[in-house]
Amino acid sequence: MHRWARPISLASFLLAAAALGPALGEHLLTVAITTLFMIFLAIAWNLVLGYGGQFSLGHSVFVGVGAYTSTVLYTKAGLTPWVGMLGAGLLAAAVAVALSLVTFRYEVRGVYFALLTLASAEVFRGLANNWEFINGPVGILLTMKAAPRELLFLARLPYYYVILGLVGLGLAVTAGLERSRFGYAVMALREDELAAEATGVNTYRSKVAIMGLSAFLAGLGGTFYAQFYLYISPEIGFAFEHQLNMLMGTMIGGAGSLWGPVVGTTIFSALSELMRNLPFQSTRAVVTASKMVYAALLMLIIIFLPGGIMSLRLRRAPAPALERPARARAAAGPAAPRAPAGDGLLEMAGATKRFGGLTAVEDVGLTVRPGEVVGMIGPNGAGKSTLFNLISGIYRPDAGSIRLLGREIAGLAPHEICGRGVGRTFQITKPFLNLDVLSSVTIGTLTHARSLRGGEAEARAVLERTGLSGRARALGKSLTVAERRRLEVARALATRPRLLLLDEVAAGLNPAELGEIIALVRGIAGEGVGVLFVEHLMQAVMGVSDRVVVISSGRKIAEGPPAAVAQDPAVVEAYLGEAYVLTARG
Amino acid sequence: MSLITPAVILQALVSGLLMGSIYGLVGVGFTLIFGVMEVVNFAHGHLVMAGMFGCYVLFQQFGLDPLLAIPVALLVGYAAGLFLYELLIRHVVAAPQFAQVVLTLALFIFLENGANFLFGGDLRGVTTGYTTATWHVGGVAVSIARLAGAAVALAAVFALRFFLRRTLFGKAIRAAANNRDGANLVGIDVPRVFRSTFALSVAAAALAAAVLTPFYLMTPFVGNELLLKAFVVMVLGGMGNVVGAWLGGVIVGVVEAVASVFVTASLGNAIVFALLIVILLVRPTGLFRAEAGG
Repeated sequence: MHRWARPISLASFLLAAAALGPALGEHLLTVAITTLFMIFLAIAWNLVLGYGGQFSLGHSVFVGVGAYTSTVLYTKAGLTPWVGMLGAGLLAAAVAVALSLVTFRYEVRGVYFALLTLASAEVFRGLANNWEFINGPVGILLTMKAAPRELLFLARLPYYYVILGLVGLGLAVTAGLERSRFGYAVMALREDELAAEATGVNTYRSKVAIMGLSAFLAGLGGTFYAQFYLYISPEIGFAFEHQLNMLMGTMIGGAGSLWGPVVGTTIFSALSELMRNLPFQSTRAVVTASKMVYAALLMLIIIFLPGGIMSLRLRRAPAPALERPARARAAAGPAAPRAPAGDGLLEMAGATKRFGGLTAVEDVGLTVRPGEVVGMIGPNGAGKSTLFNLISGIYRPDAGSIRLLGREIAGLAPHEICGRGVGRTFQITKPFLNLDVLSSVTIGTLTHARSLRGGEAEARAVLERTGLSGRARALGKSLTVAERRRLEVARALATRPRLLLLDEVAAGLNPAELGEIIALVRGIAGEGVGVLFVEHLMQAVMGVSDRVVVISSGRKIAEGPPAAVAQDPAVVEAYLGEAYVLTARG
Repeated sequence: MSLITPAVILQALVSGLLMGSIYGLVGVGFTLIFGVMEVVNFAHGHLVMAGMFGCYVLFQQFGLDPLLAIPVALLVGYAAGLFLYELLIRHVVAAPQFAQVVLTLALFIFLENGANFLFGGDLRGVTTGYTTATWHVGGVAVSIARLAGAAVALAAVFALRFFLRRTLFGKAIRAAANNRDGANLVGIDVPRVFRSTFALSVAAAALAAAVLTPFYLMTPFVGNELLLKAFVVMVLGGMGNVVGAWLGGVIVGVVEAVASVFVTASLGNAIVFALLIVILLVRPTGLFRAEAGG
């Protein structure tokens, strides 16, 4: 997409809507205002759900907190809601941040997060009902008057422009997020939390921050609500209704897309207006019937088109064409910072990890020097992946030390360890399914890149090197198995690792692809990066390793040059079931 | 605060226990399908609500007492469950969790607005011969309607437990809950198990509706509150644990009743949900051992 496409479409939408305002009659203007209000809240919620992947069902809390904050500041302290609105946004954000700090610290996820946020809305409603200072269940009434400086108007049109301005703000924030480092981090977290962490994203901080940003907007919406309806009470401020409207609009339009909330909510309002012309007995009948129709539409969408209406747009992706990795140009790739001379890049000693009664890794010592390729082999279930998870910080060792360049890294979070210079791939590939290859790799560069553009340029060089340039704009979910393995390597390389952990990157590759991977690994090591390489394919291990470590039943049973290890009786015994692999090689 | 005497507290405990038993029944169907299919049915409270309006119509039109309507409720509930499963739920059993949440929330919206369309938002209730009748036992007033509801709920929970533990089909349900693929491998028809489980869960919701109707005022919006109660019951009792759900229901009922003695009822509700939040944070597996059919 052209870099000006977003700003232009946004500006045209706002200008068209602004021009339309005066042409609308009293009734349509009211419809437009309530529609824009619902759109605005849906935009706020879309940030958390559509971009951040966190299923909050408690966003009515932030609407209610916002509405009460500016109203209390106005009625009790005489502060104009124009300013009070800012306080509303900030207090709503503070509530969201406090709530998220606790819930995400306790690793509440998915549907449990949805339940918890839903329950918190009930708690807030209960508290508001019992707080005399804000009039309990009676609520607070504002006087209808013409006081533009106090965000009060007799006419509808000014309200229309205020809420249109807020929608413009929400859309601009969303568009800005899509093209920001923070936005990339948040989208990575939505796609796969563990892979995001391993690629250097602080997922905890990102989750808290996106909740805060979203709640800030919802809080502004709350102020608008109170000023427009001139009334706020616990039942309407904290109503689940707000949350349902956000959900319906976003889901029907398309979560995680800029225009999704606009499209979905507009369809709902248009539907209600159409149904108004049908011979219903009462307004209630119209409203409830159109919600029933809309709910049915939502069911159809979620079953047949889970991406929402916006996912119908044709995506132009380049035809799949795997090119050969640019071996000759390997040197053109980003140079990893050279580790200080000396032997200890990775020094692991006495590392032990237990799961209940099972000791997966026991007293393992391991050293990787800069520029060295160390192959790790061992039967299935020997503890190789657990070792990787210990080094990359996904597990914390029960005993022992893991040092990188002389500094202890055991106990650090995965993104911190990634920041210190450990890149890794996953045996079961974890591509960011709904992000394209370039963006996925760019996320890796954000551990050090100053700007998104700089990161993208660097990511392109990594794609070139790993043979993925032709697939830069393909989504993760459209990649073949071989491409997914390359993406794993590219994403890890983009973080400029000093130590690269490769977990079975050669599995399932054909001989030509295998040759390319081996050449790539050699090239990476040639730049001074230490490589630890888990592999079942003996051809790969023997061909590329300077040294081989053999793990069996969680213990290191042999270590040395490839040829020597292959002859080791202990190794042959451990591999008895797979002995043919060794004999076939010879 | 001199109004808080031991007798008042005893009264609150008894009322809470009776109401809690019924909350347990509301939560049982909810926890069952989460335990077996890992689907959170956000429409569960609204299915109870729909059942209450069904009992209301039966009473108003045909004079059928809600408690005598129990067999009808069970049958219609089971059939409605089969229908909803075939129409909607089966499409999302293997889908990402958010799709299940959105689909069941859409059903929530549909049922709430459907009831509002047909009946309007006013409070409605059924007045049977025993709606206001009480027994006085040692200074404590025991509502007959609630006592009957609590007894039916307790019996239903243990009948369900017996079914899950002792019958072949119950064992198939527990196997599918424990390991979907494994159950498939040993020849269990997992889709059929899921369909029946969902139908059972809706039948339990309908039963809860029948025992609530004689004394509980209904509006189209009552489903939301019942849903939240079912959440608390499920989390307290351990996801999928049937007897745990009943115990969880009793805890909710008692906490709610006692809280409304010391503070107001609306704050009592907030306390119940604050309890839910704390448990979700520190012990998300629930207070009791989580096992479907346990």
